[in-house]
Amino acid sequence: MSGIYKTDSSDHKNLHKIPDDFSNRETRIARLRDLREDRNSADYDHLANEGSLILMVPDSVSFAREFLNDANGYLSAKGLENVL
Amino acid sequence: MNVKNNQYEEDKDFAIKVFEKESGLSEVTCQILEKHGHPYMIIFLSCPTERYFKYLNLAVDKLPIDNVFKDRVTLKKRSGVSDRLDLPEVKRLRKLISESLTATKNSVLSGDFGERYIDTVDRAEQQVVAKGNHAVFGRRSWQIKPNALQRQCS
Repeated sequence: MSGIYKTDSSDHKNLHKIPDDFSNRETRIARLRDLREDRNSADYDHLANEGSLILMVPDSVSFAREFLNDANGYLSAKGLENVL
Repeated sequence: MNVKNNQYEEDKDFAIKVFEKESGLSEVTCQILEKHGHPYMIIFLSCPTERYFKYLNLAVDKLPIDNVFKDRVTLKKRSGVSDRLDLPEVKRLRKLISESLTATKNSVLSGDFGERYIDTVDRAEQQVVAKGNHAVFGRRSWQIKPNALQRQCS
């Protein structure tokens, strides 16, 4: 894990770079890929509606909450407190 | 069907093939969604667990960069199953059970457990995993030696 953070669009290609020991790593990588696609639908597809999403909104929200919670715990275990 | 759709079909078939090879599943079903001009593949499994997402990510890594489904494929839970015995997961289980039946006490002594089962050239596995009582007949036909058979018959 590099810890490098950028806000430009090129950072999207780094979605799959989750630490090897992160819980449910493979699922998270795939779901982040799906969420990126859904985000593109929301921002750029004017004909898209909720049914066009790969993940339903409640599933996306619960995924994001759990992911942030696990990321917080992971970073805390590494000695990084209150990062997120 | 235009050239673009033909390319999609080829890319889809290849992506499915790579995923099946990684996961050991066969005849998986999928749906193609059109997402702002580009297709996105959803492969349906009964229970997409971390293990299967790992197979998926390995498959994605192995897809060539020009495959339209590179980074555009995911797993979702299947709904409305009509015939459970025909599910890819069940077929995989049946295959594993069939493979396990080739083991004998000699398999332990000779160290065969360290090697994977190798499919037959004439694809006999398709018959072995047929809906039949192969668990007994398949096992005996491979295990009984001619002299043992003679002793049984005498």
